Amino acid sequence: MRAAVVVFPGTNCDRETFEALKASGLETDYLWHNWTSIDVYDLVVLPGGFSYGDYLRPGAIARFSPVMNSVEKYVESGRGILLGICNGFQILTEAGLLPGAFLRNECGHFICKMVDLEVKAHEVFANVKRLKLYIAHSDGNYVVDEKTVELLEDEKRILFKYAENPNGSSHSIAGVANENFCVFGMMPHPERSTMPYHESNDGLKVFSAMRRWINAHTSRKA
Amino acid sequence: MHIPQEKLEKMSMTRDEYERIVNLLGREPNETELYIFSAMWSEHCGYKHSKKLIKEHFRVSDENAGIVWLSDIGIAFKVESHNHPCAVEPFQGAATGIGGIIRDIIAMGAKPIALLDSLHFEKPHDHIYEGVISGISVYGNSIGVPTVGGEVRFDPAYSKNPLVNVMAVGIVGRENLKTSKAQGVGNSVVLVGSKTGRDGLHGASFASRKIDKTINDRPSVQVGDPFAEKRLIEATMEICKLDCVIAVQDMGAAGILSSTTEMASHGKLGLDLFIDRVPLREEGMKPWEILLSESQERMVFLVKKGHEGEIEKIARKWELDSAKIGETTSSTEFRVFDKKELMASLPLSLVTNPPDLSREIEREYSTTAEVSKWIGPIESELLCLLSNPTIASKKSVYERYDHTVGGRTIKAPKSDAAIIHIADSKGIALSLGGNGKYTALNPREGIKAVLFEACTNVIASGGKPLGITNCMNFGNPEVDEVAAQFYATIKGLEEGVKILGIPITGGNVSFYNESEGEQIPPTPVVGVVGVVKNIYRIPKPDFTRKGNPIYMIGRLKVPHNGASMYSKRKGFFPTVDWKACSRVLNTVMRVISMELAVSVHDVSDGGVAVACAEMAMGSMMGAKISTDIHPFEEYPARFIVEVQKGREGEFEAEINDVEFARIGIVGGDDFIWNGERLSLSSLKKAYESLEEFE
Repeated sequence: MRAAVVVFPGTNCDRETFEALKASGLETDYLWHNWTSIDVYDLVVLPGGFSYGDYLRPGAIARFSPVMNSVEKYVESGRGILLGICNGFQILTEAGLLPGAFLRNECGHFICKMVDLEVKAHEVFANVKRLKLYIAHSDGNYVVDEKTVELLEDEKRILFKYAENPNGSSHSIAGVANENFCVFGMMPHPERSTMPYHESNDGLKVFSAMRRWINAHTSRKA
Repeated sequence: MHIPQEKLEKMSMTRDEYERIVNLLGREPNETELYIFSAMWSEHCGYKHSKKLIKEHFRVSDENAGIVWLSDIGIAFKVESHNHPCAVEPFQGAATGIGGIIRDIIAMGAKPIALLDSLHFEKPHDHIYEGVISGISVYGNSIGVPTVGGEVRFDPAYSKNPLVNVMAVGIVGRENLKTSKAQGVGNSVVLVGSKTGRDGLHGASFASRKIDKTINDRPSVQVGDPFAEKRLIEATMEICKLDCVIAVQDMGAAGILSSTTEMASHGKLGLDLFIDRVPLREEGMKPWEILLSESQERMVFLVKKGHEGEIEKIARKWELDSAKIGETTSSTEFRVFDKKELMASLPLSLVTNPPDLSREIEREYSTTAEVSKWIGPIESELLCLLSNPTIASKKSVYERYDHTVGGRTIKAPKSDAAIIHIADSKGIALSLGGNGKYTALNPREGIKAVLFEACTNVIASGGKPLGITNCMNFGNPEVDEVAAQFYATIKGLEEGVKILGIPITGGNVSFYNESEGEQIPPTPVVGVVGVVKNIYRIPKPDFTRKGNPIYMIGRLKVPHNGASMYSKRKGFFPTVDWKACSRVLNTVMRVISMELAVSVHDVSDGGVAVACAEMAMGSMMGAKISTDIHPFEEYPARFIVEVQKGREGEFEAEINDVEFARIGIVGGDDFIWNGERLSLSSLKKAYESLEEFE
């Protein structure tokens, strides 16, 4: 199974995401943001960081990178899974691949801390009920209208919710999926909880859920 | 010589210095040349008051950062101050301080992996505190280097002169280590990074004088762009892998001028600069402005002639400007050309060797051996200390710093030292701290206590100290008292590292921390890098298990320390047996490596009672302490150690070469000190007082 970590100017979680994917048994490559041939990958990850310095708005410039055109086609084709983590999630909402938008954290500044998450998408995360993962963001306040929340709830597209809302997100939502369950976005950083020396190893559960999902739901040839 | 006094003042230059230049040059310098001397002979670039003393007392390299080795992996580290800019514009001052020290690390070819900062403010939550912390947060988080530790201390003495010292740490393979020393004639000086503008003009001379409220210093403060810095880091890492790169230098104070002349002078070569080739962001800049500009996010590389294109290609990928701006020559001259017109021609050695103004003023600073006693309950004093902003939890600060980006963080802010993963089961322990109260009371003994404290932090977290760096924050060195404090600190530091047997790998000096005639207390800050041999076998920072015995290792009956946090009465610095302290450090390292210590915390601000209370609060596990040790007195090299029940005999046999006492037992819901019962929640409430401001 092959994975790619897309690197934009300003991306800063690429290395640990690469290591985490490798530790989860995926053959992994870095992709510079002007690369467009992504069809060989089963999982494409937009990692965390400050793509284009977060100038204008987080993700607002990165969504126009050449790689994003291919990403849109990749999603339509059902070829594999697209996962956006933190800034990657912000890019996906800017690109309209996931619903909602982000505002500045309610407290007005950056927060880096370990949070408890309640897993909601039980089909994706079989047998996992709670996760302990790090958040690290200034603009993690996920905003989505009530009608969409209802839809997300009905279609079980909310991946997880914060046990204690750290940033003001609507309904404490910390991660969502698109309607086909091939695009996932999450604010917490699973890659920071994957190594034996990390405070938690729950990030591995997220990546193994992605692997299972790829096997069951994409056009990947086994 | 007819140079008017105003002109000299504008250049922050004395008439003596000017006359010296004229004598050595055999003529009067032209305008561009005068600006060159103004910057290069400033205290900030030239270290006039410190260079000679430091060379005499320490063996430090002239590379951009110090380095220690874990087999083939080099750990590059350095501390730098950005005090003056933070006093004027706290947010940009702190942000560019981070940017500057990071470039020192990448100039070694090292990838930055951690930041620590030592901050001294008047009080929490004023505009300087808020500005500095958000500056660190915005810039550090964006460039993806985790801020993993340091300290925040408060004292009214820093009301006009806050101290902002940042330590950066990077890793580099032996084969990729870079030098700042130029080699070979005719090689190309290539500038990479942001365009050059008028920002930060006179930054070096601004940082070399006291802060004067009547002068508008804002234009001397540079503006940071973390996105450019992040690209510059990545580009530099790629460029450093090229075979054609001979030397690397960051651009800090006095920009192009100081970085290129230092490079050439380290290699004993001449240098020609073509100033019109520098990519500019403003029109009409004069040659001296281009030379002295402190525009941020720029690096300079010396490249084999003909290979400039390889650098330019990488710069283009990262959307950075690059240009060949000069070349090395076989002469001893530093020449500056503007469109073929010769603007300056000076002997390089004259530019890079400002006059020595260091002074060896001897002063005696007393100590006392009078043993300190405490009688009566501890509750009110303990709660007062725990809520003192210097001791209180800094959660509201470190949660604003990304301390886990990079995925290498093993233990950060709550630990005595931060622990960062390096390779396999190896890690490094990092500590940075100062104590202006100690060093004000007795600079010579105080600096040793600061040095030992940074080492005890590393040891308590399971590390073995390998190398030391420092940042010397002092007042105006032209004042006798300040010169005496500095000389005493140098001597004390030399004595301290000799006792410890750990090398000093580098340092930084910040003078003129003075405003309206008020000097800051001498505040040397020490950074230590240690190795953690097995990251899976490090002791915990908090109490772990009910029934385990608690020990205090280190001197039991200690003299009164006039600089202790609890102390309200004036006094002297304690008489310290430093050799005994050094033995304590070695003994604790030994019992930790033998895995006889379950949890360890060093005793520092607030003494033994505060250290025990912190261990109890950390895991919300009570403790019962019975001891005649002074609860609040401070003395170097002391540790609280929790030992596994049943292994007391083994443990005591290992530590009998130093003073120790069994002082209590872990367990219960309360913190009990000699029968006095305090609830953990009341301690915690006091300890979390800083957060109530939110």
